[in-house]
Amino acid sequence: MTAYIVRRLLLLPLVLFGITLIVFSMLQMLGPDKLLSAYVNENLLDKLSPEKLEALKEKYGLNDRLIVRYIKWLKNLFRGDLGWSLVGKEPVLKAMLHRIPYTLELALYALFPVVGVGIWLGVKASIHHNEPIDHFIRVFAVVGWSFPDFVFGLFVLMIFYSLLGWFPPGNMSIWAEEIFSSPSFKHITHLPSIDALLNGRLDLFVDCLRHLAGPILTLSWLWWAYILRITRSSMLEVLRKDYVRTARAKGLDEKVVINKHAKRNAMIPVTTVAGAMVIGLMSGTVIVEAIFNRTGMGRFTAQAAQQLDFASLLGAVLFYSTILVIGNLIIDVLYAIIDPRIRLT
Amino acid sequence: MEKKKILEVRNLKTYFYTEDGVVKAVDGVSFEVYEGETLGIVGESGCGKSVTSLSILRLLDEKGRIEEGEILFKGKNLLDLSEDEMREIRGNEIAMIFQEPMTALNPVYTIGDQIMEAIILHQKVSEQKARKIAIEMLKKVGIPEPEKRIDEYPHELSGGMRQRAMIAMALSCNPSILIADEPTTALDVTIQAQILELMKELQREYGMSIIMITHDLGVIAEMADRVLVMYAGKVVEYADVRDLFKDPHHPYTWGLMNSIPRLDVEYERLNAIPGVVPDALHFPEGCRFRNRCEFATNKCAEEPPLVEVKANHFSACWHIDELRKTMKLAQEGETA
Amino acid sequence: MDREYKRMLKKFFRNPSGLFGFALLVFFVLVALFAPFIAPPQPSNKHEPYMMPIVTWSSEPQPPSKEHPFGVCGRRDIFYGVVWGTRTAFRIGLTVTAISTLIGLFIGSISAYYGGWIDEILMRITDIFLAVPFLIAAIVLTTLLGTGLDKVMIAMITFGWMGTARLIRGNILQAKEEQYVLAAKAIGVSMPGIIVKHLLPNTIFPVVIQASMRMGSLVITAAILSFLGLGAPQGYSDWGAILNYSRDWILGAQGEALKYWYTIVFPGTAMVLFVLAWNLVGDTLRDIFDPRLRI
Repeated sequence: MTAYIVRRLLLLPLVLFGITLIVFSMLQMLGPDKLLSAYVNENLLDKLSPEKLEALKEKYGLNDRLIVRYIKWLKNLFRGDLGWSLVGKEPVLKAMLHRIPYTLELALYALFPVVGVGIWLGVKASIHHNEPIDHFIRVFAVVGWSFPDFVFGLFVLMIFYSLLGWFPPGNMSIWAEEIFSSPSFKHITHLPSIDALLNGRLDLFVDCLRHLAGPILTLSWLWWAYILRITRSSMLEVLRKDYVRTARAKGLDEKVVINKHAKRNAMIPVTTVAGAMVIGLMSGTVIVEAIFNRTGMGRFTAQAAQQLDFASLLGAVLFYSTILVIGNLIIDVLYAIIDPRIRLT
Repeated sequence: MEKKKILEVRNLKTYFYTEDGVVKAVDGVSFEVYEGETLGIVGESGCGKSVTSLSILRLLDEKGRIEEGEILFKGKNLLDLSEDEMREIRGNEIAMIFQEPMTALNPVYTIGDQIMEAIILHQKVSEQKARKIAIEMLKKVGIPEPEKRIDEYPHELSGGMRQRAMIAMALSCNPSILIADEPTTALDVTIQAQILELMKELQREYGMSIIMITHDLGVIAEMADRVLVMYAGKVVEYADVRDLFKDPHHPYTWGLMNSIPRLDVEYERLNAIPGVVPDALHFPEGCRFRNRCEFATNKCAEEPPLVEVKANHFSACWHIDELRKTMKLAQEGETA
Repeated sequence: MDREYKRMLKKFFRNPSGLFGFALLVFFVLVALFAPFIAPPQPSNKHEPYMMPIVTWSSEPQPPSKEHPFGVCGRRDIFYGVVWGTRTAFRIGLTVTAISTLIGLFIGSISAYYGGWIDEILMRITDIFLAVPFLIAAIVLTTLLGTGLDKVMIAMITFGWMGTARLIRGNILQAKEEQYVLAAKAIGVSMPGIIVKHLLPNTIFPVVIQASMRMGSLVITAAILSFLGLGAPQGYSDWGAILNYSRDWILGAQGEALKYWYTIVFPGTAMVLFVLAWNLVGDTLRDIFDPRLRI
């Protein structure tokens, strides 16, 4: 088991290295002059003399051979110098650090209902196979899976904000923002809702949740449908397996048969598609944050694209890819925990 | 000494309601099992022998339904029990082992966990105690180093070891009846013999009854005291094992026996029964064997009753006399 | 083989959800084919029929009327945009699916055929491409290429071939061990010949199914890019671009929260039904072809 995890960990830097290759090659599609805008504050850029510009190009190695340029770029990357962000009006890394907590908070909150409700509904449907509830859940799943999150998000905004006034867009209300940025407020985890709780501000926490509800609903909807479909079909297959019959033949309660013997086996295929879910949730934040005006990495990415802010864009690619790689690692470990047969290979 | 009846199945009818129609998988089967004996149920695949055993434990899938009949276990009709009462029987009074030890054991739990589960459930003992019993059982079924093997997963054991683990699991609660559904079919020939020997030994020790389900007459000859021959959901012959082999009274049984190659006879070719088992959706009217039977006449369109042809020997055929004449001729031909 | 296909077709049309998906798809194909008759271009956009005609000078959306059955948004007729948007959706979906599938087929079969270090390198490249989330990759590459619908398609093709490559590689590796391939090898048929004659035909069906299941999500991704203003230009008949307009009006008017509902509901429904149709068809095909993969 440990050996398995170690081996997966050793692969991690290799994949990250590959990602820098992709990012760097994409960068090379821009000419050296345009590239410079990815490194330097654009207000400065116009005022600089041609000599100064040359010097800067030299500093970032834009005139060098490809391989030298790549190494220089990597060095800057390791120092945390990702260039200048047009969108954030500050260095890219700083701009990202301000935004990452909002995205992580959203993704984490969305993950739990997705996994919990999705699996629960899937198991429910499989136990009541071909009964009305199964048909209902199936239709819900197929329609849900076909509902693009940005269309769904627009509907959520229209109904739950415009019509009902329940889930306002944005990060939090203005009064909450003031408390949040006051010096007495301690930022412990940097996840706003959690910090609100840790500071004992229940009102602030509720306000955060109200602003999170719409985005969470939008983000999790699609993946409920997805996880539920996979869980249902894999449960149906597992329930036909001989070992489930063996468990019943032992005289075990049907609840034990389902929850102990069937569910764990049914989770194996679910785990294999969890990678797709991580990609989906992370990509979903782009759309959801754009629609609900949340200042996270997703909206940052969208804005950077709209303003042709290449430095920020590449920072975003690094962020999302790293999350994806780490997510896949966690999934692999989970996979090995669930299925003892994996641990050998 | 009169033996005690422990299980009696009367006129069992189990049907499956599929999209294509009703499959009468078991259609009016009756038999009894006595204490400490082994009843063999033999037939080709699809004859209803597995469905019969699953019906006894009421473990049919959602499409299968027991339409009629009684299953009397120690005088109680199992079909009248509630699901809770039935669970008390399963694994505790009547245990079952299956054909594929690979798929019949849950791949994500250790074999110890799977054995102890039944012990804790039925014997209401602590986990440590259950573990001790489980190790004891593993030792009994001949698994070496049981203290170590108990924490291994099914995929870490060989096929024969898995089947031994299955047997340990089934016998851990000391059941009165063990149903063994093709327990050796998936195993190598040498392992087969070992497993059968083990089952006989354990039967002597525990005194349980065994229902041995198989398509293999060799296994029947080795294990069974009495035999039920099934064809297409019906009982065609029912007799003591010796009597059945010496003196078969049904063309199907005779055909099965002829299809076993014998070392002492030279063959032009093996005598397989011609034709195939009829489609379960469209069994022929009357005698279901008649489209493959060399003795079939118009009479066979009428269903033959299962009658006692001699003491404790039952057969369902209209043409037993013709069969016996032919058998006699064949025997004479062989000795000549 | 012929009979096998017939049996599958029969199964397909006996499945209600597959049939429904297929009917929806036929409907969309008809709408796309007959767009010039359903929503004839105005004199103002005769030369570029994909641009939605401007029908009013007021920027406020107008509710559905006899003249504009789906209403007006961004000065343009929504009905026209939804109808011609069907063509856009098919064009994007089919182009991207076809080209990326071909690339995947090529890389996958090269990888499986040569094996060894070529396989190793190609598969590691595949891994690296898979390490960037598809939407993010598409956004960045589109931006770097300079935005526009064609750039969106190039970006989606660049990051869309890996699934097919892996699938085809796995299938060929598996099929290589099959009896009929070993037999062909034994009688001296060359390996490229075997790939083209035996392996591809036998592994192509899963690829087709996978492609049809991808159509929906590809069209969604393209719409997201248009929605973010990176894809189709303003006024282009593209569902995502129309929804981009509607964002400004989503909050309704004072006291009338749902005043501009039609700006979302019509293009949104078209989008959902289009994706639903492909998902249903893809699901049904897969169920019939490989029940083990059933979802």
